[in-house]
Amino acid sequence: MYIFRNAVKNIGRNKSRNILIAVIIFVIILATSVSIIINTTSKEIIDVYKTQFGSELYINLDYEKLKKDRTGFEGITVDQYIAFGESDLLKSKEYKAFVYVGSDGWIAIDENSGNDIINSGNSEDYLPLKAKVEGSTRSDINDDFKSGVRKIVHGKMYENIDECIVSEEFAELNNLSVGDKIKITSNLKKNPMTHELTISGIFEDNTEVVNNHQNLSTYENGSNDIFASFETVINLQLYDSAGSLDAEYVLKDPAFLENYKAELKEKGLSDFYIVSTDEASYNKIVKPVQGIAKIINVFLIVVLILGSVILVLLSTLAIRERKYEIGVLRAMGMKKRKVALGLLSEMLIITGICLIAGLGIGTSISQPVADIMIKNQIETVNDSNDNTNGISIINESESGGAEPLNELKISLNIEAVSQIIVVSLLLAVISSLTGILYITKFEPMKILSERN
Amino acid sequence: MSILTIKNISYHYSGSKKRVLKNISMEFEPGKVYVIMGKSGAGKSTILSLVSGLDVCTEGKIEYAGTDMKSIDRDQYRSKNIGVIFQGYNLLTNATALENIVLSMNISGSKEKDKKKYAYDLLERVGIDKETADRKVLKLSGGEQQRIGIARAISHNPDIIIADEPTGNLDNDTEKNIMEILCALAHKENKCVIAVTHSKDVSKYADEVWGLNSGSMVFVK
Repeated sequence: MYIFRNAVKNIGRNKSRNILIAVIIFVIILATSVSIIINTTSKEIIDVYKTQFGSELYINLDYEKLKKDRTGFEGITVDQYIAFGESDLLKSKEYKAFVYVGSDGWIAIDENSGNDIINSGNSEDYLPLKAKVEGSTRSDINDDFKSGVRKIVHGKMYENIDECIVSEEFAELNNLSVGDKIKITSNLKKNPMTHELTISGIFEDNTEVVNNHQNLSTYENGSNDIFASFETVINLQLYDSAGSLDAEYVLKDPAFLENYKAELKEKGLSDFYIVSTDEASYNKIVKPVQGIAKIINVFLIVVLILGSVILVLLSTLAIRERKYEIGVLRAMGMKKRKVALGLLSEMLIITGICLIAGLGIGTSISQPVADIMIKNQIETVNDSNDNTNGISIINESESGGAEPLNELKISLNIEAVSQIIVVSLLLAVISSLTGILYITKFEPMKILSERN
Repeated sequence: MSILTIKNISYHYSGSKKRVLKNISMEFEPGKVYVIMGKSGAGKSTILSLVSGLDVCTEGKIEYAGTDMKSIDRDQYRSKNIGVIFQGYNLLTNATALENIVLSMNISGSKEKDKKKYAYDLLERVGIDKETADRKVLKLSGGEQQRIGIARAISHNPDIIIADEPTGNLDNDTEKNIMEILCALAHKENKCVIAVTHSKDVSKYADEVWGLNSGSMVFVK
């Protein structure tokens, strides 16, 4: 305890030297605080936007390439879609399989209103498509049921293969009830591929589209939708000939894109497909923040290096004054570690005071500094877009209407405070290091005899 | 019975083969004032730095209360068992006289409850009043600093007090006063006082006088 008390007194005994050290430490901590606060806030924002925009993946046909030469083109099979989804790089994957079907013994809502469609071609060969059978791993169907927009009013949700649910309106029209079977067919008269589904439940449909279906084809009318499990749909024979599949993959991190592309190639994705993310939105929003983070990081490194060099130099000069004091304390029998602890305590007290001041002032000036920086960064990003032969790299349709950040809401979080404290402690250690090394190196007699 | 024994010690500085001290043997008893005399460069301060645990002899051994100095914690020895009065005072100049004494007591692990009061009393014993005790050492005279050095040396009640030219920079009256204090410590408080000096006047206060010449010790009185 006396070491700490003596350290406090020593700070007062050597005011001018300690004020000089305190000013330097304060400036370093202030700069560090501003940098770290802005940096951690930027990082948080980038992380949020990475999740929000940058990671949804699109696999689209390369129509330009297809126009030139279709040789070797093959579509993506269901098995491939599923294989593509088996990747450690993905955060989530969802599939929706659907097939438009004709009827065998039932009629669709609005069938007689003239909205039903007959497949183009010879009507003698084709049957009209009346409804859509959809099976999805997506949660949106269930969300409709959760929110009450759609709700099961009879029976239950499909659970097994070949079970389905139909709308109340559809069931009433065809006099169907739970447990009844409906037959679905392809639109090919010669090969109807008839399949039988068992109704496990009947739902009430209050979706907006359903209530405004005057100009829809029957198969576009949501009340004609027949929902079944994903497995049921992809196992239908008629799905093989006329089915479609939508797959949605979400990467864990947009940075994984190139690795995932390579993985898809390995799994047999044809070169006729382009794999991309919503990079435009991501760049538009995140680039200015990333720019700030980069500048701040460079600034932080420069401040820390320069600051540490200045502190070491100052400590070296200060220790010339202090070596006599160290010699006296050692001659009085104070152990090396206690002398070192005394020096460290002095620096910790000075650093602690500077930390409180630096953190307080740093927090309050971080917001205006960030405002200026983000303004400059947005201008820089806009300038670089405008300079691309007069065509904006990012347009509203590409970016999905996402607005770039025009302000950075600075907040002080535990991570930032911890980092600032660690930097401050390092500064205190660096400042004390010269003295501590000196104590370790020399015996008291040598120090005192040099002085005498 | 001796409290400190020097057995055939020799010393040479690192990088030099020339021996500053040559096969010196001595015994020091409590309650006596020992004066070691010699010219400048005779090795007086070297022998003091060895017995005060600030340095280690290159040959021979020094025993404190029968224990070889090499096997004891020299920091603890300096802080508890001996008190050193340095020629150049070696006080913390930015601190007050009182703070110097209290710090010395703290380093030695003194159990004194009211260290400040004890320190004031100690300083008063060596002729430093309370007002002077609260002043920074830097602002005090050489005589006052020497007294503070004595007070610091005895603040932790050591068995041995070592004084290097204790009156070197002082006037006759102060010299007399300081030597009386040292004699009182030996004769009344049973301390072993070892002083090195080149002053013949100081030797008058000694119970034993030894002469150091060309690294060898000779009994004088």
